[in-house]
Amino acid sequence: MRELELTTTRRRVLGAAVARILPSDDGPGARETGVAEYIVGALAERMNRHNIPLFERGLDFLEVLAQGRASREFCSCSPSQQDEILREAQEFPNNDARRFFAQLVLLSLEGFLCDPQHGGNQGHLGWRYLGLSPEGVQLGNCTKEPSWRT
Amino acid sequence: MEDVIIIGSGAGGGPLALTLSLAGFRTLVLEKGPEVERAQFPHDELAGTWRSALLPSLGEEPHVIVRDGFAAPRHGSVGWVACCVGGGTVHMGAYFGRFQADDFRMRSRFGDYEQLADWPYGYDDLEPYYCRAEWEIGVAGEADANPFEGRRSRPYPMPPLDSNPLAGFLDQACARHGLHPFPTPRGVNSVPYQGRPACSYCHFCAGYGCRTGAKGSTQETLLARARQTGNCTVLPLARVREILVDRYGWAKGCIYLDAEGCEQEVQSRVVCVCCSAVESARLLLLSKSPQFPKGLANQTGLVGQNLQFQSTSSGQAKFFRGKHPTEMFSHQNPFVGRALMDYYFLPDGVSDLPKGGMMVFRHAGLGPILRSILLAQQGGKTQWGMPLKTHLHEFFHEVHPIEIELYHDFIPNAGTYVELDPEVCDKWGLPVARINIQTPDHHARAGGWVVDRGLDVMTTLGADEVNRLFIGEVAGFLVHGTCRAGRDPRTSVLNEYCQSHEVPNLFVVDGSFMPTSGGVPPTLTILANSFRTADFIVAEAKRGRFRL
Repeated sequence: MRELELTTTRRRVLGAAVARILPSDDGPGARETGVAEYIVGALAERMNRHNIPLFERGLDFLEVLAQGRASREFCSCSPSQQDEILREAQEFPNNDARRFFAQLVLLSLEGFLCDPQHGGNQGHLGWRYLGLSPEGVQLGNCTKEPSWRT
Repeated sequence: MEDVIIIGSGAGGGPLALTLSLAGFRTLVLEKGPEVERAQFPHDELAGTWRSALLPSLGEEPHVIVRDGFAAPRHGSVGWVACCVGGGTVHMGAYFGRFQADDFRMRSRFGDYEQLADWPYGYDDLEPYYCRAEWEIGVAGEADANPFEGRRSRPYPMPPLDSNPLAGFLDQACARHGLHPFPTPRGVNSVPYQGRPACSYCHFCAGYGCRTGAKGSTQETLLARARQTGNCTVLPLARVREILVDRYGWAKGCIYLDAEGCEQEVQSRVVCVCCSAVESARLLLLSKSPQFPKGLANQTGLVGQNLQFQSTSSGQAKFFRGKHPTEMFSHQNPFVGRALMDYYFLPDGVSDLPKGGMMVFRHAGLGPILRSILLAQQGGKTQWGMPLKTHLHEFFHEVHPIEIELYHDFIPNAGTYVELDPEVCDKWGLPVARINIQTPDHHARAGGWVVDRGLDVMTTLGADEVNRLFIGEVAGFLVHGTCRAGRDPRTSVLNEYCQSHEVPNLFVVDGSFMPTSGGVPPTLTILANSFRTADFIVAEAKRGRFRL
C-alpha cells in the first residue's frame, strides 16, 4: 500500500484542522503537542495505511469547502470559519466525509495523549493538561499519589 | 512426519501441546504470529492495546462485519484474537471464573429459545479439568468465597491478588444489598509459582502482554513446559492456509506459509485446529477437496454456524474529588479485585430468558486515549474543539471513576455466523472471514437490568453520578461456537471430545466447540476442555486409532 501523498496544501489543511479539533485556548492543544506530525507518521504505519485514501479525500474536501464557502484556503480562514467548515464536514450526508471526520478526531486524541515515543504528546503536554504524570498515566485519574510498590 | 500438528498456540493449543508432548508424541505447533519475549511487550496504550501490534492490520487481513443483516459490510477487528505465541492468553484479562452447572444444559433448563443447545457433557465431567487448568496455569483465588460456584475438588493453587482498599468499602456496600462479592479469580500469580514471579501490580494487565511473566499465558506456562520435554516444537510465523486430506478423507497435514512467505507442507497423523472460533471455521471452509467440497468436516454445512461472542454491558460511577474518604481512592493498586455472581440468573420479568452473568468491579481501567475517545463519543455525536477539551479536563481533574462490567451470555442465533467473504481477500489471496452478527433483544434487557443493580451498589457507596456505558455490546475478542459439539452428527460438527464427526483424526480445540457461551469469560473453560480433549487423544492414540 502506498504512502500518504502529502501536498503542501494538504499538510496545511491538516495542521489547521487539528488545531480546531484540539485548540490551544486554555492550555496545550494540537499545535503544542505535535498532533499533525503524529497523524502523518501514524498513517504510514501498517495498522492505518488503509485510511490513507480516506484522509486524502477528506483533506481535499475541507479545502474545497473553504474555497466554496469563504473563497480562500482553509488554513487562511478565520477560526470560526474553519469551525463552520468542520461542522459541515462532520454532518455532511456522505459516509466518507463523516468517516473521515471521525477518524480525524480519533487520531487527534491519539496524538494528544499517546506515549511521546510515537511522535505526539510532545513534552508530555497532553498528559499534563489532564493532570496525569508519566508514571501514573495508566491509572488515569484514580490517584495522583506516588507509586505504592517500587 | 509429525505425530500431531497443532495450529494455533493459545488457550486451545497450549493444553494439547503440553499433554501430548508429555505423553511422548512428536508435536508441532504452528503459530501464524511472532514470538514476543516478555521485555518486548509494548506497555503503552497506543502500541499495547488501542492499535495493538498483536492483531492483524485491517489493510492486510480484515474481518468483514455485517450487523443485523442489512447494514453495509465494513472492515473491522471483531473476532480477531492476538496473533503471537500464546495467542489470546497473552493479552487476556484472565478473569478465570468457572461456568455454572446450568451453563452446560441451557436448552434443558430454558427450553427452545433461539439456538440454545445442551453441551454433550456436564459440569462434573469438566470439574477435574477445571482443577488441572487452574493448577497448570496458576490461578489466584479463594475457594468457597463464591457461594454460586459449583462443586470444587481442589482449592486454588494460590491466594487472591492483593486488592485495592476500595474493595473493603465495596464489600460493605454489597452487604447492605444482600450480595456476595468474592475475590475475582485471576490467571495471574499472587505469589511466585512454578518458576514465574508474582505480579508487580504494574497497571498494564488486561489487553497487554505481561512483562513480569506473572500472567499465565500459554507461552509462559504450558508451551514453556511442552518445549522442555524435547517433543514439542513451536514454530512462529507459520501461517496455515489449508488442511490436506488423503484419499480416504483423513487429515494428513497442512500447507503453511513460512516467515519468508514460501509454501511449506507438513504431514502428521492427527491435526488439531486451534485458531479461535472465527479463524478455525475459516480454515476449515478454506480447506476444500473433492471429498469435502463445502470445506473440511462440513458436509452438514454447520461449520461457521452458531457463532457467539460474549455479551458485555458496563456502567460507570463518578465520585467527585474531595467528597469521599481519601482511603477510597488514594491507593495505587490497580485491582479492585471483586466480582459478583448474584445476578447469574435473573428474576421473572426482566427478560424472556432469565440469564445474566458475572459482574466485575474495576478502577478506571482505561488508558487516557480510549477514555478520551469514549468521552468524545458520549451522547452519540462526536465532540471536538473547546467543548471536548473542557469535557476531558473536567473529567480527569474532578472525577474518580469506578466501572462495573458484566460478562453475560451471547445467545446463539440464526443471524450470527461466519462464512467466507465472497469478495474480500487477505494479502495472501485467501477469502477473509465474513462475520454476520445479530444480537437478540435479550442481551440489552438482561445487561441493562444487571448493570443498574451494580449502579445501585455504587450509589450506596456514595457515588455522585452513575450512568450506563455500553449495554448488550459484543465482546469482540471472546469468540465461540462455530463448530458446535454435540452427540448428533446431523446437528453438530464435533463430538464431545472435539473430534470431527466426519474426519476421525481432525480435532477443533478452542472456543469453537462451545454450544453456548456461558456468563463468564470463557478462557478457563477453553483451557479445561482442551485438557480433557488432550487426554482423549492420548488414550485413543495408544489404542492405535490414528495410525500412530
